Amino acid sequence: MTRYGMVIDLDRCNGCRACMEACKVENATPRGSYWMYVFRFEQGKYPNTKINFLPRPCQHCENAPCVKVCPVGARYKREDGLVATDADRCIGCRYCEVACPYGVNSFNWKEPSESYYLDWDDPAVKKVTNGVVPPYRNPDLDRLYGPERRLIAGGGHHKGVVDKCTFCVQRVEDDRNPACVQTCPMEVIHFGDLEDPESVVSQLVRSRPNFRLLEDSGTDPGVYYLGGQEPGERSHQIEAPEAEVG
Amino acid sequence: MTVDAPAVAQLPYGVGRFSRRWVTLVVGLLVVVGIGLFAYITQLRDGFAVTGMRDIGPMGGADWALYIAFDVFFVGLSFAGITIAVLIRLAHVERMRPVARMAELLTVVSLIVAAMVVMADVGRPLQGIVNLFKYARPQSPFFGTFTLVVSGYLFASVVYLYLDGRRDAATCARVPGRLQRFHRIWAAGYRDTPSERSRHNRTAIWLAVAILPLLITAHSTLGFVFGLQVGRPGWNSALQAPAFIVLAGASGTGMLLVIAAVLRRTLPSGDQLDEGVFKWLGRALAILVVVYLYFMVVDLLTTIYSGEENEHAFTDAILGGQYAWIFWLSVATLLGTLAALSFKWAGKRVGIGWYVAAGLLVQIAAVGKRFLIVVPSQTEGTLLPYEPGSYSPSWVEISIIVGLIALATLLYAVFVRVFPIMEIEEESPAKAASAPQPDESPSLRERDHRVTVVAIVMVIVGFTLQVVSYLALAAPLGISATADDSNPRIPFAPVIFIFGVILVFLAAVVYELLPARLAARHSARHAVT
Repeated sequence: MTRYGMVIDLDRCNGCRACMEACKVENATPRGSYWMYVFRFEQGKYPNTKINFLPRPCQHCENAPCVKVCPVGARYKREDGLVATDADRCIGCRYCEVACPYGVNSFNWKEPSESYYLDWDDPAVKKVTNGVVPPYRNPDLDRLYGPERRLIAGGGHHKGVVDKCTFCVQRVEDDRNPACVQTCPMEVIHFGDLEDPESVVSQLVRSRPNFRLLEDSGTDPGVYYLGGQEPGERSHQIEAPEAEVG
Repeated sequence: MTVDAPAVAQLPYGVGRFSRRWVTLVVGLLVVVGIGLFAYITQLRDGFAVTGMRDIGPMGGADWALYIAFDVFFVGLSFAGITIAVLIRLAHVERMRPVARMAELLTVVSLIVAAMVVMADVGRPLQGIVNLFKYARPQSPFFGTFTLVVSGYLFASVVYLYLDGRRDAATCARVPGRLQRFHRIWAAGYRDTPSERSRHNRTAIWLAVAILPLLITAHSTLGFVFGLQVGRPGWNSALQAPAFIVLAGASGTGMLLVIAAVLRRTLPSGDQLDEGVFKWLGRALAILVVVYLYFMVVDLLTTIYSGEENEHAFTDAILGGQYAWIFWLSVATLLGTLAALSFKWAGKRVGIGWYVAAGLLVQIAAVGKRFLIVVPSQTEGTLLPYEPGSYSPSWVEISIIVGLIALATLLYAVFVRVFPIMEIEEESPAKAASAPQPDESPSLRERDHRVTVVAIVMVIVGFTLQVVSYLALAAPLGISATADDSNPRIPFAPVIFIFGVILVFLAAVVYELLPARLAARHSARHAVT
C-alpha cells in the first residue's frame, strides 16, 4: 500500500511563499484561492514574541472529515492516500469546506476564467500581448486521473464547485514531485510514501521530533511538521496573503 | 353518485371569494417573489461572488450563511404543523381541531420553501439534483436531510393534508362553481360513509404513528449536519439535535399563533378559533421556550466552565464579540415571548394581541439562534491562526430569502381561498345517523380486506427497500481507501430509498382510495348486469 504524504521542515522555512506561487502557476487556481498557504504568525506576548512560518497544504487526512460529509462522493480518498475532488461531480454545497478544520478548501465564487489575476481583455494587457498570447493553462489539468478516471487535477474547471490542493496529482502520477516541493528554494517540503520505511519522508519522520496539525480532532493527517512550533490559541497572523474574489 | 349530506349553498370560510383585498395581497406578494427570482438569476449568472459568503480561513468568511440559517428555520416551522395534527389524533386534543389544517398546511408550505432555499445554496443546482439522486451517500448527514426531510417528510405531510381534507372536499364539491372540479378531484369519490370514516380514522392514526418517528429523525438529521462536526467550535455537541427540535417546536407554534390570529380576523366565521385555541398554543409555546432556555444555559455553562480553548474563544465571540447583539437580541426576544404570554395569564382580558406578539418575538429569536449556530463557528471558529473573519448578507441573499417568505405567504393565501382552512362543522348527529347505510355485503368486506393487505404489503416493501438501499445498494458507510467506495453500488440507489419512503406513505392513500374505486366499478358492473 502507498500513502503519499508530506514532511515539512519548519526549521528551514523562511516564509518566502514561493510554494504558494508555484502552486498557483501549476494548478491555475483563481484569485483569492490558495491551495498552499503559508502562515507567517507571531507567537507569545510582547516583548517575548517569536515569528514562525508554517506552510499549509491540504493535509490529505486518512480519516478526512470532508470525505465523510460529501453528499455525492465528489470528495473521495484514493488508494494512494490522496484526497481528491471530482470537479464534475461536485454540486457546490460546500459541506466539505465547513467540515474541514484546516480551512484548505476554496470555492469557485465566479466563473474561473473571469477571476484570474490578469484580465486578458484589458486594453493595457492586450497592448503587451498584442491579443495573440492566450491565457496559459496547464493542459495536464483537464485530463482524467487514477484507475477511476475522474476529473481531479488542478483548478478552474467550473463555477460553483469546490477545489483544493491535490498534491499535484497530475505530477505525482507522472513520477514527479508536487510543484511546491519542486520550487521550494530551502528544501523545506518533502514528498513521498509514508508507508515505505525507506522513503525520504519516512526517514525524516523517524529522525526528528515532529507534530501534525490539530491531531486532537482525529483526522489522522498525512502532513508531518519537523521542528518549529505548532500555532496555538495565542498565535496571530501577520502579513496575511490578500484573499479577495477577483 | 349518492350524496348523503345536505347541499351547501356557499363555500365556507371565504373559499372561492377572491376579494379585492386578497388580489392586492397576491399581486404584492408576486412582485416580491419576482424580485427574489431576479436575485436568484443574478446569482446563477454571476456566481456566488454576489453573495456575502466567502471561503472559511484564507478569506475569513462563512461558507454557509443566511440560506442555511433560514433552511433550518423553515424546516423548524414545519415541525409544529404535523406535530399538532398528530397530537390531535393520538392525544385527542379536540380543542385544537380548528387549527389542525392550518398546521398541516404550514408544514407543507414551509417544507417547500426549505427545499427551495437549499437549492439556492447549492453552487450547481442542476448537477445538484441529478447527482443527489444518482450518488447520494448515506454517510453524509445531508443524506437524511435530502431523503427524509425533503422527500419523506414533505410527501408524508402532503398525504396527511390530502387525506384529512377529503371529507371537506366532498362537501365543497357539491357547490357549483369554478372550484368544483378541483374539489371533486380532491375528494376522489369520498361519500362520507361510516366505513370510509372509520377507514380514514384508522389511516390517520397509523400515519400519525408513522410520522412521529420520522419527525424526530428528520429534525435530528438537520441537527447532525452541524452536531457531528469536530472541526468547528460550537457545533460538536450532543445537545445540537434535541435543541433543534425544541426550538423548531417553539417557532412553529409561534407561527401558528400568528396565522390563527390573522385568519380569525380575516375569514368569515373565523371566530370559531376561540381563545381556548390560543391559550393551548400559548401554553405549548411557553413550555418549549423554557426548555430551550434551559438547553442554552446548560450548553453555555458547559463551555464556559470546562471549555477547551477554542470553544472558549468562540463563546466569548458570541457573548461579547461581533455577534453579541444577535445573541442578546435572541435572549431578549425569548424572554419577551415568555413575558407576553405571562401578561396574558396575569388574568387581564387583553385580547389575543399578546399571543401574536409572543408568536412574532419567538420568530426573531429562532432566526437569530439559527444564524448564531451557522455563522460564527465558521468566521470565529478557525483552529489555525487565520485572520478573524466576518459575514454580512448581500442584497442577493436578502432578496432571495424575502422572496421565499413571500412565496410561502402566497401559497398559504391561495390555499385559504381554494380550500377550507378549517374543518367544516360536522352535520348534526341525527342527520348522520339517518344517512343511508352503504352496502356492506360480505363480498365487499372481503374486497376491503384485500385492500388492507395490499396497503400492508406496500408498507413492508417500502421499509425493505429503504433498508436494502441504505445498507446494500448505496455507497458503503465509513471511509475506505478505495475510490470506488465513493460511488453507490448500483446507480440511482438513493432513488430506491426515496421510493421506499414514498411507498410507505402511499399505502395510506391506497388504503383509503382504493375501496371507493373498487366499489364504483362494482356498482357500475351491477348496473350493466
